[in-house]
Order: sequence, then structure tokens, then C-alpha cells
Amino acid sequence: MQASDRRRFTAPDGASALKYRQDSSPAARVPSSSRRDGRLAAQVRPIFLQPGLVTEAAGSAYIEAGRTKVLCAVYGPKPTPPSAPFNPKARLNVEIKFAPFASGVRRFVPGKDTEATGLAAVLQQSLLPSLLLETLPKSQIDLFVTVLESDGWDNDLSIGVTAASVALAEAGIPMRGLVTACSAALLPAPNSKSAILDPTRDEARDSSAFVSLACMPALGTVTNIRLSGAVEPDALTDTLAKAHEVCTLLHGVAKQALLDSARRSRTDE
Amino acid sequence: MAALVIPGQPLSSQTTGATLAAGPGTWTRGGQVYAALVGEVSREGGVLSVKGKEETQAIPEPNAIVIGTVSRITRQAATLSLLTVDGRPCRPDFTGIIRSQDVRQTAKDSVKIWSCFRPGDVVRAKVISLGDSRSYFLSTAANSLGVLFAVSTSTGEALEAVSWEEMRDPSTGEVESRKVAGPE
Repeated sequence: MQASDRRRFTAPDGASALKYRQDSSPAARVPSSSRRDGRLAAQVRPIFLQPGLVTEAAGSAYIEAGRTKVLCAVYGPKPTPPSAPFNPKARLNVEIKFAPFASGVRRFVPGKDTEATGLAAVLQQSLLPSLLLETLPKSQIDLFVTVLESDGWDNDLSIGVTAASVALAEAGIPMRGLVTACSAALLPAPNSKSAILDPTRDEARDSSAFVSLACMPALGTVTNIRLSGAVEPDALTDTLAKAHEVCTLLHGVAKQALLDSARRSRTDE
Repeated sequence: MAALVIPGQPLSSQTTGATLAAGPGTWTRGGQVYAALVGEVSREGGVLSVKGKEETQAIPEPNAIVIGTVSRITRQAATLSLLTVDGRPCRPDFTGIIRSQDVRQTAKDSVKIWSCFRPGDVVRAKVISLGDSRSYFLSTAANSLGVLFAVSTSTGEALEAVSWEEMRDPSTGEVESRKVAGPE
């Protein structure tokens, strides 16, 4: 950074992370169906989903999947700034932030970074078809997603989509249905037919293709599909079908979390 | 205890004998009524509706009764910062405007804003339109709409209403003019 940041404590320039000597006996890649953490190919990481943790927010949700931890907070509906033109529908603003301690490499840039901007656009595309924004004219909804711990490569975004949808439902935003998302990684040539669902960072790094699916299982509609890498059409179809099944399971988890939260708030009254 | 539903849950279908209409908190697709909120289903007549949480923040909509605080007055209009919408709390940054022609039902041309509202008054009004990009358009042209609470400009004590257009300071007896709200 050329100009030093005057809004924060100054730190030494050019700091880098410590490097450790690698173990001389790296574990050989086991080509069998078991993965490094012992999961089957179509098995997802254990999920913890809890709405309503941020008290100041209109709606919030916290989700853990394995080592990935994401916190979503919804503020609004609130009025648009005076400079904005008249809009008969509500506007959804999405902001994704990675905590500096979120991944192995410490992120030094405090403001906007290039990765979060693209992820926010994809998250907005995934959520917009599910929201009934025309029932909230002349207002805006702010959605803040904070990744506390990152272990999923772009799979953090899929976890964030599910949590964001639960947070919006908790805030009372009218919506057509809950959006859940799942990612899958396809391995290189020797195992090119097998797709591993809900991949971790190491698995995604070794893959030849990465697929993300966001859908509304209650209505049977898809809101977003992303694909990077090279994959055969048959394998892609099978992978998307498996991802859709996982999205249906996630929808059950989200439904249970929302109903528990609604019952808890009713007993509190 | 009524059943809890989540968004996207089907509430009824046309295969049921009667055709049910979609009320607040629901939406329809292909004749099917779905829930749009997390809450309880209720059916009144042939209308299905979903009632969400009470504490969700309300947004002003036309024909809603709002209560707000006068933040600014000009010769033509009074600007309100909205507090509640139909009895539910609202974000204070929603603003509404009472134009001089919307203050009273009668004698519209002789209305003077500073004789009807002062900054700091708590006013009950009705939303008549979405207005422009900044403010909603409000109206107090009804007997039950107008100033609910005001303080004296000299002593700061709460004024008490004595007629539809006058309020009196209980300690000094000084009379100030307002557009006073009648009973609801």
C-alpha cells in the first residue's frame, strides 16, 4: 500500500506469515471412495444453523458446516437514501466480509477486496428470485455476511446463501421460498466420474471442476448455477442432481431452525 | 395453537372444493396459495393469510394510520419523522410530509402550517400516497387525526386540548393553536 492507512494502527510493512517445514512423509492420496475427513462422496459436513443471534438486526442467522462459520445479519426494510430515485420495489444490498482471521493466510486489506465483491454479486443473484420485493416499495434491505472461518473455497458462498435466506425469513421479508445452496467438486481424470459434495478447501484445490447450485426446493426451481473448470455433460447432470438432493436436505434443516425460532419467540411473549 | 408455516409452504390448492383467495403474507402461483412469511395461517371467509412476527418492522403503506413527530415545518408543509405504523414500531428515518392542503377538510386555502403544527409535536396522520422518493404524503383531514401531544413554547409543559384547534398550558393558561386530534 502506497499511502499508509491513517484510520488504523500502523503495522510493519511487508509482513508475511511464518513458514514451517513440511512433514517428510506426506500422506499419500488414497484413491478409494473415502475422503480425507472420512466422508463418503455424497456426504455433507455436519451442519449447525441458528437464527436470531444478532439482537440489533431485524433478522440474523449463524451457520457452521465443518470448519466453515458464516454469520448473516439483515437490517431493514429501511428507507432508501435521499439521493436514490423513486423505486416501487425494495432494493437488496449485499455485503460480504471475510474476517482477517478467517483463513490460513491473514487478510490485511481492511476495505473492499476483489473476492468479496464478486461473491456478493453471486449471492444477490441467488437470493433475488425468492424475494417478493414489490410488497416493500421505496425501501432497501441491507444484508451483511461475515465469514468468520473459511474452509470451503467458494463453498463458503453456498453456506452463506442458506444462512442469508434464513436470516431474511427471520426478518419478516416476504419471500416465495427458502433458498438453499450446495457445491460440488469433480476430481481429475482417474476419478473423473465421481463428484464430491460439499468440498473442503483442500478437495476443491485438487479438483478439475467446481459446481455450485442454488435452488428453492419447496418450489422446485433453480436460482443460480455456477460452473468453473472442465466437466463432461453426463457428469455435470449427475452432479447437479446430487447437489439438488443435498439442497432438499438443507431446506429441511432451515425449516426446522425457523420453526424452532418462531416457537421460541412465541413462548417468550 | 395455529400451525406455523415457512415461506414456500403450500397452504391450499384448487383441488379443494372452494377457491381460496390469497391475503396478506401469501402469494399465488398456478392457483396454489403459498406462504410468504414465517408465522401462523389464518382463514377468514375465503381468504388465507399468514401473520408474521409482531415485532417485525413495519413499512408505511397507503391508508395506514401513522404516528410521527414533527421535525420541520415550512410555509407549505410539515415534515414528520414516523414512529409507528398501525400501532407497530417503524424505523425513525421514514419521513412523511403533511402539505398545507391536506391539513383540514374545510377552509383549505386559509390553512397556516404554523397555526396547526409546531416542531416536536406528536401527530396522528393517515398515509395518502407513497409520495416522492424522499417522503410519504400524509393527511390529517379527519376529526380523529391531528396533534396528539404538544408542549408549550414558553414553559415546556405538556399542553391539554380544549377544542379542535386550541390547546392550553395548564400552568399559565396560555392558549396555542393546533390542529387537534379528536377521539379515535
